[in-house]
Amino acid sequence: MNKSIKLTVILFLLLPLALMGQQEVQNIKISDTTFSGVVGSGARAFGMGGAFISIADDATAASWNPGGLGQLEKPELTIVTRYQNFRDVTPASQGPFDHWGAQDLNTNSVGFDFLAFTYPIRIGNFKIVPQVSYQRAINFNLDSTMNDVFYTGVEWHPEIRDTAVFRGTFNETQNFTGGIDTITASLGFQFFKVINIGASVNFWRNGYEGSFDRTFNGVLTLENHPNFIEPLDFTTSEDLTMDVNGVNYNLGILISILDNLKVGAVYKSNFSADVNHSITVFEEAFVDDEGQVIPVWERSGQSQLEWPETWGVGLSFRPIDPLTISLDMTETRWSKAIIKRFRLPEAEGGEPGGGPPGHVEVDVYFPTFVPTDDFVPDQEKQLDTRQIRLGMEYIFIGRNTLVPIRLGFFTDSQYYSDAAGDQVNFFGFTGGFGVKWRGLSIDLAVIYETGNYLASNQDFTTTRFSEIKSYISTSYSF
Amino acid sequence: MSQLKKRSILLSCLLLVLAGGLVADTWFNNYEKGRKAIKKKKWADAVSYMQKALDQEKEPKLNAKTVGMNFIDYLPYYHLGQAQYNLGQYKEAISSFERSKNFDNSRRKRIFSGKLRELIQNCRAKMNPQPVQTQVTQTKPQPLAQVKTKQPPTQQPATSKWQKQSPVAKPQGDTKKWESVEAKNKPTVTPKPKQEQTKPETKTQLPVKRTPQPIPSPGKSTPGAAQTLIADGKALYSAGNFQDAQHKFAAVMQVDEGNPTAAKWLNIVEHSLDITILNSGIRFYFNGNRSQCKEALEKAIKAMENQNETGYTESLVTAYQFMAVLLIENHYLDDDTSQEILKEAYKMIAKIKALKPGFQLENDYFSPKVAKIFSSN
Repeated sequence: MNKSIKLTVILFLLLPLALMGQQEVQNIKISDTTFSGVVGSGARAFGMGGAFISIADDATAASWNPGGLGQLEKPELTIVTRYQNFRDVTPASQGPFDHWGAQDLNTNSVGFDFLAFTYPIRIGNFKIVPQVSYQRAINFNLDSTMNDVFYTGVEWHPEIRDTAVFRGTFNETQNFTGGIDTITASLGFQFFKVINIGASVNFWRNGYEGSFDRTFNGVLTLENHPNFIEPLDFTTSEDLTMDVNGVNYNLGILISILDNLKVGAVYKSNFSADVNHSITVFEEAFVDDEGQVIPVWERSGQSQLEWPETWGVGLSFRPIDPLTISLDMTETRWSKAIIKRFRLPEAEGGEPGGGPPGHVEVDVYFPTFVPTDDFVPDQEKQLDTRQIRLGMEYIFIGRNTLVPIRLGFFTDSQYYSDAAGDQVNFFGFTGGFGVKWRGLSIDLAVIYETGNYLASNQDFTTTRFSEIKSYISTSYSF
Repeated sequence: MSQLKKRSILLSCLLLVLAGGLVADTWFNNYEKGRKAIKKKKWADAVSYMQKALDQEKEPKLNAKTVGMNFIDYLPYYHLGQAQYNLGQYKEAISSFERSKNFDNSRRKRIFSGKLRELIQNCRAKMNPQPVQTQVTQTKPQPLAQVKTKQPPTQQPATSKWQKQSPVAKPQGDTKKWESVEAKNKPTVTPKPKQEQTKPETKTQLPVKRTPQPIPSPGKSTPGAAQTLIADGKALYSAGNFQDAQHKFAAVMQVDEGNPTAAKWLNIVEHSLDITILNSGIRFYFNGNRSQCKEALEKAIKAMENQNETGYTESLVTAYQFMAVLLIENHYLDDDTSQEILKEAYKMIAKIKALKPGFQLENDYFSPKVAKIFSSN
């Protein structure tokens, strides 16, 4: 085979591989609980499994149920930090045209989660409770690695009437910073001591930027040319950015049916956000005259993100003063979370050797980036999610010190389906404790979430997901 | 959107803000306001707030949950009684204190009931203003603690049950008997109007170390006169009349300054008077008269510390012990100065341990909580 043909084969074969990498990073399957903007924040709440809608009686109230703000009596300042580690482990799988080795995607993240200040104002018989808060609603401060994933792929190329076989290993690293934040202004009121209502306005800001690098080390062979063995070592890189700008509101109500029995409800509205995004794909084989790597493909543009609505209800009961038990349910309309006019590369593009493919503008689901058109199989479509959360808190009371112990359990359906088309469901356990001395509280919560789902219905491989998150909250009430 | 619609929405929001601000106080809001009023001595306001709190939450409770992770001790009847007492509403105050006494909580009942007993007695005393004078020296008390080293050569002070038992023996007689005795001794005269009362409460008088009255010098001292005075003094001491005995021995010292017998007996009598003051303090403690108990203990400790004699060790240990217990118990009742009171208690415990290492507080007479604080310091 002469040199020019060889180069063409290599280039042509590599392109789908490069584009596959793009799909991977945008297809990170992370749990619904990662989206704090959907549920709330605070180590005390998460220690109780997140069942906080009908409690919401501290400075994190606006993130769970702004109706709870009306209960607060003293000014309070809270800051929450988070550590997160999740793993997606998929065993080796065999398809008709490829074979993947076991994949272990390991992601770590640590950073700020929530900051709030509440100041109840009481003048005579009037009380209103304003709060301002800042929350990292979706965290993209992630470092991920996936090492030594073995890959074998075959592809028939009619233009050379041969089957290309490439074997090797992938290594991936992803480094992203930033996240989507909300700046929130909330107001709570209390009527007749038993009815509390509240509202929040959330300004969604910022976004993420980062890079994804995939390195392949292997060989390329041709089935009908046994003497053709070409080493393949290349790196595909992508730089991605995304910024979001939008406004939504939350409404909440919390009613004391009895002194020790409360119900609550919250609604978080959907909204349209302007999205600026860009993707630039680099591939080592593409260099300019000076030997600098040039983009294979780049795209930037403005789209519109339709963020889903969320609603939740909760019930809490206090059989004795130190013990509280609560139950919540939350639903989020992820089936309606869409980015409109998102640019995707065409499935087949350009003449051989003629350059990168063109692009199309389609509506895609967020965050899976799967097109929403009718040609997409049902199992690729995004689904509405539901969380059921159960929690308890018991407070040991000393002279000037309180020591709470918390436990929780939750179920967490995901916005994607498994290979058989069934909605993926995870579940989790939480635990936490804290210390309160006079006005100062420090709380710690640990959340463990896990679940399995069918990754392939051809060889019935199962992906195992597990995530550990910990939160530390520090609060001071004046 | 039409102008009218916009204005309607704006007006609704404004009304919501105003109406939503209207909020009646919760039971803990009223309770805290009542406590603040008591601190500012606004008794009428305190009564009003406490009654509002009781309208909403009738049951007193320790560690009552308010909002979030906030708990308070909810003792509305006690504070209501305080305010009523200071307003001169003694009957209502007694009723409030009785209801507070009936609040059963094993952790604080022992401490609390003593204080309440004292308050109820004060109220009754106010309603019946003729004081019941009781002089400890007019009874025939047996010394409850014995001075070890200062023993007269021929006459031993009578040892009492107190000395034979442990230092924390029960007082003679049940505390309830003391209340019934006081109740029987209530005078039948009509109470004087309030403005005529000059003292806030009636106190049982403590034995006082009187300054011996000088006896005019006869110009010439005679041994016979001194011996007579000494003999009289001994007789008075044996009869328990320590103050008059002190007077006799002091008179001997006036006319015969270096008289060793008189000096020795004077020392013994003064010791006994100190012990008597201590005994009074102990008696007041078990009777629930905490303020008088503290006064007596402070006098006894001061007198014994000034003497600086090893013979006082056991008595000092007893005095420090009761003072520490009293301070610890007061700590649970008075949040404002609780840390200062507790520090004073720790000082007392340190003094006990310095005098008597390995000292153990007996649990029979004091609450386990107090015993635990003792053993942990």
